[in-house]
Amino acid sequence: MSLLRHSFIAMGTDCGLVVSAAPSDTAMARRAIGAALSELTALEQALSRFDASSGLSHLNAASGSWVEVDERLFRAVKAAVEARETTGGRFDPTVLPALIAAGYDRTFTELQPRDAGSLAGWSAGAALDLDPVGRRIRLAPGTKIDLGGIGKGLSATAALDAMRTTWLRMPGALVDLGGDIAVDGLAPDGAWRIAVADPRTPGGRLGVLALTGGGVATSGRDRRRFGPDRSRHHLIDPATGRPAAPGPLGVTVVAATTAEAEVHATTLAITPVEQSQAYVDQHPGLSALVVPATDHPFACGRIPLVERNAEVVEAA
Amino acid sequence: MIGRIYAALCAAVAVVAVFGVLAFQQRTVAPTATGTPVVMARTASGALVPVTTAPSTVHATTSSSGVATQSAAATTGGTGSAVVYVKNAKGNFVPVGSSPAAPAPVAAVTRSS
Repeated sequence: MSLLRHSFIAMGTDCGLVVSAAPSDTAMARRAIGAALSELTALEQALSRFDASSGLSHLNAASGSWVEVDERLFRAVKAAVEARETTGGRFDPTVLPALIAAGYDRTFTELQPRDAGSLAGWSAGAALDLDPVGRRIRLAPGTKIDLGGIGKGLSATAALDAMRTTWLRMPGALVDLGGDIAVDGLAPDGAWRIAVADPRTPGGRLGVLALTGGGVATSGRDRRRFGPDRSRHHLIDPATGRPAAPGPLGVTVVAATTAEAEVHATTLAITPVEQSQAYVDQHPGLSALVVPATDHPFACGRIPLVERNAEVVEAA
Repeated sequence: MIGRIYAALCAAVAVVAVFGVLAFQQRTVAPTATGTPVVMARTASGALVPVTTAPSTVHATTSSSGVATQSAAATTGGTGSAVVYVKNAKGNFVPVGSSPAAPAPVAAVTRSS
């Protein structure tokens, strides 16, 4: 058994598909990778806010009206609405105008520093109506949504599902979309080993996770900084509409699905550090590794770290 | 008289044996004479054991299991550091600092993006 790896750029980030396969199954592994790539292409066309022809861009442009949408977009918006309810509004896809006002108004590589814009007229929690029968969505007038984080999480799982559907007896695979990771089955030597990057040290690690299913996502303010002197970050606090002030430097979450991990990582990233353990306790099946800006990293819940930096402690 | 001769012979044989062993040990660390440091790793039990290294890589690590390996990252989480010992001119092993352990093999890295 060996690993086949395919690396590429998608959704504005570095991505990787890794398949566990015997040499005699190489052709099947390549077919599975092809299926995942096709699915990811379709998802990006549906969910990207930077592509004017995407389903999401059409939906945002038609706020106030019912819009019939692609099945992928419908599922993603439905998941985002559910996530908003699960997190009590701490995760909110309607923060897009606030994100644009903060300066994140184009793809990250094209960003230019500029002053923060006005938030006049914007408030979080705008209505998102879903019609599952007609597969239609209606955004409240003036509302625009961003599916960036949760979209990547959903896409990782969808790509993995496409691989599994193509090759039913696939021993195992891992999909990595810029750190949002979905795994299924086994690597050649056992569980999939996923390093957790240390946001304080380029190239550093906090430990290694071992997973045979589910998803992992990391959110933090160490990357995707912009504005004058890179003073702003992309984690908008729906309560203020501005880049969140409280919260840790970074959070890694392990959950049943990558989208779930992404939603809770994003929420914990804008939550005061001292509330992290209580938050994880409220969500069964969740575990997290939290990196405060000025204190030791700590683990919440039963996070499957098989190796850990000696500095990592258990939550108090 | 015969007993004294026998004792002297035994002592001579013992001295020769000791020098023979020392000579053999010197032969095994001959690379030091050519400028290649001998690198030893300290195990969890405190013993120093030799580690095979390429001439240009003089780092070695000690794993938490007490088994000296070139890369202990697989058992220390890739976050420990390696203590490097080099044999000096007097034949003693002395620590010359530490070097970062090699990262453990992983399939992916989760990070904010």
